[in-house]
Amino acid sequence: MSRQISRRTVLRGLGAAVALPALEAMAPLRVFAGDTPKPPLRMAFFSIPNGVNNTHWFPKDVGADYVPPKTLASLAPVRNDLLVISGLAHDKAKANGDGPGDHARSNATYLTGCQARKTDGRDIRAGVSVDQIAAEKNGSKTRLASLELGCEKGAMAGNCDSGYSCAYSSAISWKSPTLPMPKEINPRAVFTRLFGDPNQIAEDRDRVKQALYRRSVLDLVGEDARSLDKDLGLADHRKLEEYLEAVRSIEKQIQAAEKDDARHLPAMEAPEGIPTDFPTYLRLMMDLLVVAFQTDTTRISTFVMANEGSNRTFPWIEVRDGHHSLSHHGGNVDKTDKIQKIDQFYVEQFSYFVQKMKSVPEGDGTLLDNSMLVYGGAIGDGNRHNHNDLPILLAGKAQGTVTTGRHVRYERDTPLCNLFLSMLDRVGVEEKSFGDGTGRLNGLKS
Amino acid sequence: MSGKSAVALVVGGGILILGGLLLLWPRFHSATGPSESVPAVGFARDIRPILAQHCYFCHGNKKTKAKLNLELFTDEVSVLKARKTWKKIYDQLNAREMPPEEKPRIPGPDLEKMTAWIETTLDRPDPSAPRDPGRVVMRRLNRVEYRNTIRDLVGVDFNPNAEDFPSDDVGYGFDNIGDVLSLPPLLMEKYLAAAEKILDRAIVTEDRSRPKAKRYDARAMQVSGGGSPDGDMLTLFANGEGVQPVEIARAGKYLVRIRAAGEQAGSEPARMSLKIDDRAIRIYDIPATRKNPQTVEEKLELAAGRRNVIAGFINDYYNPEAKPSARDRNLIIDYVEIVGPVDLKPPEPPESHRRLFVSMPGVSVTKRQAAAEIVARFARLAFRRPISPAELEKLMTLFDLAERQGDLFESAVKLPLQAVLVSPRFLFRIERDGDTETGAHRLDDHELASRLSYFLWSTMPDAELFELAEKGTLHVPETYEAQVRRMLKDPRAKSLAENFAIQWLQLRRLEAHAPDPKRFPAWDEPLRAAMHDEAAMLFDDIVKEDRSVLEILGARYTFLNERLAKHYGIDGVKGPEMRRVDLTDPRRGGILTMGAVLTVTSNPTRTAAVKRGKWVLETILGTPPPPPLPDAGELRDETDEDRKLSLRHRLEKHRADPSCAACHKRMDPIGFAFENYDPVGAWRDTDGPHPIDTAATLPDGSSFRGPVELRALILSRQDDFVRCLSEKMLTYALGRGVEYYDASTVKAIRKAVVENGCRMSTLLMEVARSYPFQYRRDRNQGGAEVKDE
Repeated sequence: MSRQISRRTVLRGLGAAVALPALEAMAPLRVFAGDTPKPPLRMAFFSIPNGVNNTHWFPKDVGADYVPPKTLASLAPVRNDLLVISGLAHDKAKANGDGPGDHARSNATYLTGCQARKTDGRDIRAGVSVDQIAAEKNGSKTRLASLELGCEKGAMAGNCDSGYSCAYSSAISWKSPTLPMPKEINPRAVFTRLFGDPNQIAEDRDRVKQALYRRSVLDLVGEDARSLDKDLGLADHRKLEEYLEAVRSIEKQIQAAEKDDARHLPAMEAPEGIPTDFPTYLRLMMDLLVVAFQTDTTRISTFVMANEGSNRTFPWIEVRDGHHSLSHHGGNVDKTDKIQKIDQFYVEQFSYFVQKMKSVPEGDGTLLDNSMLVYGGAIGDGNRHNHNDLPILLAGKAQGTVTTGRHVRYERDTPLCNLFLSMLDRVGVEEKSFGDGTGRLNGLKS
Repeated sequence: MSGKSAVALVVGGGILILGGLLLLWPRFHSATGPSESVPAVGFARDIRPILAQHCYFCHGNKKTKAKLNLELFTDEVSVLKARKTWKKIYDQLNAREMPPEEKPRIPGPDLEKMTAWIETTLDRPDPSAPRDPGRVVMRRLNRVEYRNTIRDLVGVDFNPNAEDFPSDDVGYGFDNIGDVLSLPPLLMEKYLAAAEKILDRAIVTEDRSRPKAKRYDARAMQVSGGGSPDGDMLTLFANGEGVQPVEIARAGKYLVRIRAAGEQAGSEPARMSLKIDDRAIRIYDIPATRKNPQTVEEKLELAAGRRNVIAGFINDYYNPEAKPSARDRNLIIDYVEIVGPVDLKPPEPPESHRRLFVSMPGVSVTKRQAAAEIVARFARLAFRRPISPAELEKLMTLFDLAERQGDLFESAVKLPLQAVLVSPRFLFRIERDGDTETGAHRLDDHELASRLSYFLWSTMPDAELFELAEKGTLHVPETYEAQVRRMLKDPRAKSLAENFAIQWLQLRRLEAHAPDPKRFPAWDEPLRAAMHDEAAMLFDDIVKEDRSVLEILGARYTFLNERLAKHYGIDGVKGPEMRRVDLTDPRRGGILTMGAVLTVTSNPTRTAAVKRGKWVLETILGTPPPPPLPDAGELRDETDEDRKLSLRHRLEKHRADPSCAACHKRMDPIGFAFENYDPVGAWRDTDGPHPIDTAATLPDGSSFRGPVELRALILSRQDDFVRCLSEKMLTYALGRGVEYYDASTVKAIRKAVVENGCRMSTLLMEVARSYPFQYRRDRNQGGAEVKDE
């Protein structure tokens, strides 16, 4: 299966009437085995909104023999590939004097560990998120430094949460303290971004020319921006910085694409658009992420299952009230049961993803073995709006550096940032500090 | 209509008298507003004693609740250094939220003295300071503006939503706020790809002197009977057909060619039939052999669309007795080819192409000269200001590059145009900085033209605005005002409804709103669309007809189609198109009773009186309640017994909690007035088994019943409404949040509007004429905003 097919051939194949089943038929593209270099280590961060029903989330016992509660039951097939982690907290997600707006605030804290500045617009500020720290260091090794995915649009109206801008509640990835990374929500657009436009099958010769043209255009407009910058004040200067940063990031992509010509060839049908059925939608996006990792198009990703504060309904599991409304359950059993159902639904989707990752052989193991997949959120229980006892899962053995198959309980209020620091270590990005982290998380490997 | 007189309103045939209801909502601008002179009341002499008596106990040196120590304020200057704090104090006092209920109230005259003093002081930043127009951060075109600008600049409809541009972030309720509109790498990728796509669509680069030929490999044909690919051709080995679908772009005469051969055997050559769809064309003898196939050709009239070219094998022959080379007769097909249309001249290049190619190389014009002319014009329009020869020369290096790569003229021109479309000068609306003695400078006419066109049209300036900017006369008041009036008559002014009104009213939420389908099976896309359009069309009508802005609340007509009319229980509207309908039933009319508003302020399964009340306070009256307490539940009273109560009763229990009561006393009563409208805005007389009670009492003790009385009440508070609308309009027009130094501007706009019969054109004109709209703070005068942090 190591035959190198030209990219053009594959893309032409996409139009064929019979599409191959998504992943099974895919050849490992860069074969990480034998004398080839060690496969890279991937990291992904999934976020779920509104906290969870923790009675059915946290196992009562710790160690390898824990009994998975109802919500985590669907993870049985990958039980030995993941850690259930309890005791972690995000102090900076608390109000700490900023008053209400907990959904937006905690969402901005989730991967940054920082206290978001309370503003409706003028001066948005959070921190650089863990994925972007890794991307800054390692991103140039792949065509896309990172991939931001989500299954819900950014909010459309108003200030999103009691004085916090919508930017806080819909983005978890932050490239700089002032620049949230929007997520791609259309599977077709994700596909195009990863593998090119299936409708525009360019000859190789054209692709070389297109790269030359794009580079020349970017050179010119970059220079233009720099010359403009001289005449502008501080706030405008920041905008031009964003512009220049965006230009540089595309230039890097073009360079990386020129280096790895025939590598990206998914035998996956180009998606039509956003499926109307939510579970199908989530899984399709997950399929794309597996392919992105498998083809080494990127090694870093974030995945927003739904925006923080999401009020989605789940009629297919008989939950007709909005998720957010239900999360303020006041102890009402009917509501906590529905929350549990929603939690379970989201975990089932994650389980699907982890299993897919596990089904792809790579090197001596699987794609999953070469990954660290975090699943969780920055709110513990949606009714109390607490920010300790966060629901966190870590899937993947991280190339043998994590002993999976256990429930690990940390001392109460251990910063979630400690986990992120430990993860950054593993991808060779050794940060002195991150967010409110107090050190590395011990005991990931037993 | 102001002051404390009773207000009579004719509603639905009855006359309703409202009186004494005027102290319901706090006002930032009271009728006693600031005078031009320095406040006669002094902080130390008049205000501090009141604070000492009523506030220091909780907010002083001993106790410092909410981290507020009022003893630290000693004079006007110290107050002005903490504007935000004092704005909050003002709001709390005005809303009677402080001092809390259990503490003695501040006597009326003292309270009025204090609020008037704060208002006056905050309104007039620093008597010695020059006026501050603020600084708008350079604004990226949002998706709507990008689409409109591309339409007007290139003549191509390019929809960023369909191309998966990320959502534009929203600040202050609008998606055109400079500070908030970021440019992440993902969006830059989209811009780059978009520039290529847009120009590919706008410009025709192929050689159109010869008709196009398209060849289809026969091996891809759908075969019935029997057949399979063999080498590089298709072999039909049994009687049957091969079908080749072809796309015909334009009806006309085409050459249909089939290259075919036979494996020959028996007494006659292989025979092939040709059909187009169901139409039999001819039968051919195909004596040729695989080594040397023959081509048959027909000139046929083909209709546009998908046509099937069908080649049939009709004389299969097989004789096992014969020698192997003459045993089997088969038909071989190599390809199908369609050439044409051959009877029509090639189509004229699209309008967009002609618009861009204002010059072509010829006898006296070199390619480069022609290209420079095209690029110069395009860049000037796209950048919305003149470009320098040096800038043009830089862009032309891209034309040179493409030429060296061997591109045809039209293709080579595309490259510099692409650069223009991703240039910061195109993607952002950039305003020059100044350095003047006054600390602020007037925008130049090109900048002014852009502000005006994006405000009123959500797109680039048109030729007329350009011309006036070029002449430098746009800012002359008579010219300027004439332009505003002209622009409001232009169809492009419709964008105010979609981009201003729909966002102001928070109706973009309608798109993602999902009422429970089990309870509200009537809810679907056409209904949602009609609701949205109703709100947009009413606003647009008020702009177009220059009606009073109060009609937003009280119009006695609306826009309906059959679907929405039925939803409202209104007869006599047939068909799907929206049209103006006069209303006779007082239960509908104006924005407050529109389905769109009533729906987005509901939960999926039930109405939410609190949300509706909050919506009125923040959207219509501009007095948003403070956010809920951090541990506030949705409704904390869900015992079985509670659930038997009506929603209203449950809310009333909720309000028994004093920490919630302060604000809910303002929100809930307003919401109760709408309880007759269900979660999708349909009228109901009961809420499940419970009768509906819309009688409500506000904190000051005044009462009203139902939406009709509430509407009348709000209309009697036109100053609040007009101020709120002016503030929102100014926010939208400027692309930044309204700050304290804008207070006098807002006040002036409100005053002019009220004095001119509340006409919409007055509002828009006053915003366009306002100081912050026409001026910009200098670069080195960043002070005000920085200081305030």
